[in-house]
Amino acid sequence: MRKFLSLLAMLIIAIAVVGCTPRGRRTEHEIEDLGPDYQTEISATVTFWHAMGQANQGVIAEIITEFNKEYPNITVVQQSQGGYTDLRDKILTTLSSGNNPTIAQTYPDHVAAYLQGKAVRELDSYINHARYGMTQEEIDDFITAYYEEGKIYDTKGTLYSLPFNKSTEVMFYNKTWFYNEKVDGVSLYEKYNLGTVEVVDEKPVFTDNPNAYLSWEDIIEICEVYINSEAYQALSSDDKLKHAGFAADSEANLFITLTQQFGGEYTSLEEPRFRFDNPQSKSAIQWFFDNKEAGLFGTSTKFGTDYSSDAFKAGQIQMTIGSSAGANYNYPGDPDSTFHVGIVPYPQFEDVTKYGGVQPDKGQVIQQGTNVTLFKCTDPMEELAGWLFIRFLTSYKAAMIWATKTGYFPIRQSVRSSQEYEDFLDGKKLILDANTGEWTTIYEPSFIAKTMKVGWEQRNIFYTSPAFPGSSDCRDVVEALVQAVLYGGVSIEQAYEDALDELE
Amino acid sequence: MKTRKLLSLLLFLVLGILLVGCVKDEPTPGDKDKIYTDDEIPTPLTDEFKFTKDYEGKDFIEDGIGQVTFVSHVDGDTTIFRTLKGQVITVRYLGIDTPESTYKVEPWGFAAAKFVKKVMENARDNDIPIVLQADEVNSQRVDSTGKRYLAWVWVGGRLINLELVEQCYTATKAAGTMYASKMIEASVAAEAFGTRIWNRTLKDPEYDYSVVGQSMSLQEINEQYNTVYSVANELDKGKRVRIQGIVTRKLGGGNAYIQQQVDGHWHIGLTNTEVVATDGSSFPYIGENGNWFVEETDLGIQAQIGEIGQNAYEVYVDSLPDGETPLNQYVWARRITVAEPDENNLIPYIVRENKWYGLYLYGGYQDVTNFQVGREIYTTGTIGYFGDAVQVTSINDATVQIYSLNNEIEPLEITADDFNPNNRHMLGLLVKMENLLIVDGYNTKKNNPSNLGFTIEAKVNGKDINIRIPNETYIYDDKGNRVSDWEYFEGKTLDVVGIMSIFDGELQILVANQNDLTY
Repeated sequence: MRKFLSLLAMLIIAIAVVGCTPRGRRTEHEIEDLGPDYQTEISATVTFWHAMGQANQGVIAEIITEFNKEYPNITVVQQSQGGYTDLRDKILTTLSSGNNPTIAQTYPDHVAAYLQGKAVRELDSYINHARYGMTQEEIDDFITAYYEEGKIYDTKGTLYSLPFNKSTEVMFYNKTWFYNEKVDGVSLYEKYNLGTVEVVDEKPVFTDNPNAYLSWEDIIEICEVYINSEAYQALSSDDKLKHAGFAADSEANLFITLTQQFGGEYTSLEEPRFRFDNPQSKSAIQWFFDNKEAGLFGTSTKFGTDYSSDAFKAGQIQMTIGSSAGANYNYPGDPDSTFHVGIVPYPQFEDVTKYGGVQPDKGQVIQQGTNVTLFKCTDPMEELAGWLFIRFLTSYKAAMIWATKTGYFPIRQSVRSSQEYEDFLDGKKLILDANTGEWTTIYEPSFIAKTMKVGWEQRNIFYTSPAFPGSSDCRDVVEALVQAVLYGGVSIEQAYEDALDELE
Repeated sequence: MKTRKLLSLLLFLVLGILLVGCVKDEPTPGDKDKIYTDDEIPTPLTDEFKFTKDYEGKDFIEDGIGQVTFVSHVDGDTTIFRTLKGQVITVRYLGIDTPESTYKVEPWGFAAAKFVKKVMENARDNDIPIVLQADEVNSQRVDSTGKRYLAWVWVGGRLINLELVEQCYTATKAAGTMYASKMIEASVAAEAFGTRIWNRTLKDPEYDYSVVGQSMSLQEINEQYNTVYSVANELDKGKRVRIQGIVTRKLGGGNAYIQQQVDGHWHIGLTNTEVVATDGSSFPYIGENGNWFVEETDLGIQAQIGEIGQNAYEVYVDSLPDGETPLNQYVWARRITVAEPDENNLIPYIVRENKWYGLYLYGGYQDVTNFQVGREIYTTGTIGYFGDAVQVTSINDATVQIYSLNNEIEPLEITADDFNPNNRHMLGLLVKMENLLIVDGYNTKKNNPSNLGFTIEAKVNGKDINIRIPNETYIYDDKGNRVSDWEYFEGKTLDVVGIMSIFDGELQILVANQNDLTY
């Protein structure tokens, strides 16, 4: 019911947007040519609405300062609107009055909703403009999957957004437990080739294998080791219910990714849009359910929270999947006081056909995150200024600032391959030691930097789901489906039927 | 039939909204240069929106709605209440996210916190009912930490969550909740009014916008802000300071205790050590003398006879005299050169009692890699208070810079006599106690299931010595399971190294590392 009401609310707002006579914001106009001195000629105010917290607002402020060095007469006003969905709803509300921002942070389904109100400015004419556009080299420099996401709204591939903050999902594991737990005298850490260990002063010093990886088949084996371990067996039966070998954070992502990994389809831009009711998807959920019933797997709902990170940090699970952008939630703190955490790519199946799936051509892992979108403006100068800010925001300079200070992925190849970004990932620090008077270089990658490094390696297997009005509600519905099957005693057939009913 | 009714309702709603949405007047903008009081800001939506639900005899935890009493204040979107059945719960207000005023400070954070505090205290003092309502659309009862109940907070029939939006203290995070559209409507109107968080040029008079911060020693921080009065009044909370110290322990990923050795009391006696004056003459040892007062200046050490004379001397610290050893680890001596001896040729001998002061730096939920034990760091941050002590907040890896590496700090050995709440100058110091027999304790999870911290108690000379194992510190039993019950330590004798800290008025030694417990 909650999903239905949410969908209804969005529909109402969207229809209101389309229905109301806009007060002058829907104008299509030619792009004005200000001549070669346009950077100083142009004078306008750009409003940028987003859903960033205070820390990231500081980074945006830094980017605005850099922008103003090149465009001294453009004022950029950034404004956080709270949550992502509130941002969407507030934009939908203000589109009718023309009080909407010049540019905004957008998820693909948000853009699809704004397009219903014909409020979004296509970016092709700007990005290809002889004076204000980008060179082909600059366009090609975008990470392809990120750039292509701006063109998923129609069959022509019209560009409606450029990439902004991007993340993915990775797997975190309790490295200390993997080291302590031994099979035939070999630690799980070494057995699964996750790295090598040297004991110094009675403490393990880990050197991770940069290509470390665990398949779903490995994970099941490791979970079995866990539930047969002395520590697990010593738990009371009540406590056993609060423990598992592995848990996933986002049930919606789990559903979509498993469906993809089983070779099934989730949604489509073509009718019928909701396509998850297929045998592969059901096999995927059956497979997860079976492992959950065996005590091996769980999801965040098992622990009564939105995220499984608290259970991971409390030692209730030894492996968890979570967002790279939220990596710090899986970081318990100083390893000497807590435990070491390892990070590996999202698991894939060695052979999914054993479980009723169809092996896809390549691995599947979700690409998440937002883009930036330009709205149509009455004042051509405001719109142009908005575009110029988007161009700057997605430039090498701004993308470097954003990637090294926020924990989101670089949106440009050139940033990722730069020495500066490599130094960030390695946590390179040059210290003048006041005790010795000598310069010392130390490498201390932050937990988020380590996560970024692993997440980046998945870039060639990223998938994105098609965006259309209601696509985010579909996510809510499949999340409820997973909960109903795993914890609500609802059969898989019934849960799929209920999910489709709710969407239709 | 059901579907047809629903469609009719939908059509009606859409038409209604079209009508209202298209003809509604633009909200009136406020004065962009004015700092408004809470009473001056229009709150028409809150004024009109009335609470009509029945809550008599209902309990918020069990029934999703119920009257509560105000227990204590946290900040602009969190308050602690007591439910009808007596359970004390922390409540996170639904649909909003006010600027921070606790672990870090953001513009308008204090103002939002004060607004809520005033509302709650007024309700308490005038018997105005406070009712918590769980959301009827979103079934989630607790927030993502699993520790705080989510609620719509009605005070005297006014929805405080909504009022905070209209008061321009917060944007909304209300999507998917029962009052989402009302909250968005308030957010649009508030932004149009354009004050506080919606005004980019208006400065919050209570927020310290300085970037550098006032340089303060940890002694100054301790003496100014760690007094009972300062803590009770949260003196200068939010003030930006710049501090320096050596990391003694890290707690969680983003927090650390630091210590700084600062000039304490300088005792000047007399010595037979050869001391050379600036004119090249030397002076013999004569005998013991009393205490002098000395302070450090840009020129060196300014020494002055305190109790026994009025003559002033300019002295320069050189090095420890041959054969001299520190009197103890906190008192050490240095050879000096005097510019001018006193009339009796009494040669001052400086014995410096170097005191250490400690402080907790709170960075919260992040990985501050620059915090490593033994590093001398400096950082900017803001003055904050927690658990009856001062702390410095708004810390992250970018604010923390490394000054030197590999410094060693030995814990200060203390006795039961030192374990006294009046010794506030010892708060934040790394201390050590031995041979503590554990006789009692309590588990935090009893009241907060997601917190696995616990406290164990020893009795020494009739005095309780509390040792705190916080949620951030993991202790494992011999099977490899995490220990979260104090009973595990019952009857064991421990040596403990930890931080002298205070919480709810009680002193405790806080253990930040599992290797600091020996048993």
